Amino acid sequence: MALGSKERFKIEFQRCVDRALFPFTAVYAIVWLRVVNRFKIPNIKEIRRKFAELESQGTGPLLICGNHLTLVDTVIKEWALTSNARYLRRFSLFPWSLPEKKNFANHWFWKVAAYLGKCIYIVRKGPPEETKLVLDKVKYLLERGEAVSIFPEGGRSRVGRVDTENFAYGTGKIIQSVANPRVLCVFLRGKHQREYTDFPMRGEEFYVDIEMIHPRSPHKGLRADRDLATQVIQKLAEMEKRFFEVVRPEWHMPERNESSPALM
Amino acid sequence: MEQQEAFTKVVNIIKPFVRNEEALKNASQQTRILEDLGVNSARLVDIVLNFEDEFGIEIDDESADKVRTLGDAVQVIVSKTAH
Repeated sequence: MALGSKERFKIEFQRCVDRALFPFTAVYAIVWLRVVNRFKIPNIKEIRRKFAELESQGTGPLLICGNHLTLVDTVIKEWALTSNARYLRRFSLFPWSLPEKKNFANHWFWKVAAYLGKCIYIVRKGPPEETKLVLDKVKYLLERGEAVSIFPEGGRSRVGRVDTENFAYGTGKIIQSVANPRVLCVFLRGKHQREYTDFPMRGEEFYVDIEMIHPRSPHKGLRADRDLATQVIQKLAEMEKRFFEVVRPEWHMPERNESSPALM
Repeated sequence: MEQQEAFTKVVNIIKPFVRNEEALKNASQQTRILEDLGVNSARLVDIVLNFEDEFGIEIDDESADKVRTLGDAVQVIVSKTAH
């Protein structure tokens, strides 16, 4: 179903506010990332060059799918992919995100940050009508040429690695909802990140890798949702495996933590 | 298809996804799949797809969203197999 005019207005209004205040938001984010937390991404130049190249090769809706271990993965991904100057020039590249409402709506600061950071809250295990409204918003944004960033695992991985068993299929539903989608898989890993946490440790060094895929499925409906979501998860798992076996074998892949509760 | 026959098959299909096996032993039509049986919500789609395979039916998103209890699942299956 198409998004109603009221919801479209709310999104467009938020986009205008976010665009107008982006220079301030961006400076704040950079200070928080680089000065307060002293985060580092040694291969950031290579990733930005690769992203510019991959992004320029197509025109379809851009869905950014990353692995998920901390609450600030989105901000780090945004920092890694391109410069704030480029986001300012092409604000549609600065992705919309779908944070869990209970994590980011419990304090005025997070509410403001989420609003200014192009966020749309989602309630995990929420009523189907609410989830559907969020999916309609995502479809609207993707068709409008806005990048959208999601976590296909459906939450922070409880097993310390890309969770290939307990992932949600909403990613597949989103991919199915638009024509010719491009899916940018982003693998992000902090050197000291052993399992899921709220925040990475101060001074953390991140490795980032990206790959563009174009998932397709011969199936329809729920079966296609599962098939498409599985393709994305498998790509992320493959990137993770390559990272720990070839790129940074000295970082050691953590054992799959089976004792952690599965995502609900 | 008879309700009881569908119920038995539904329980067998859900069994591998259940974390609260005690609740499954005492399951009734009112038993909630997520809350009472402890099924991971992300696996509901797998369960619905297994219903499709087992009963040779197609379940659309709207019907799948309505499946909250074992009774709901039985109702959807009985109505689809009746056509």
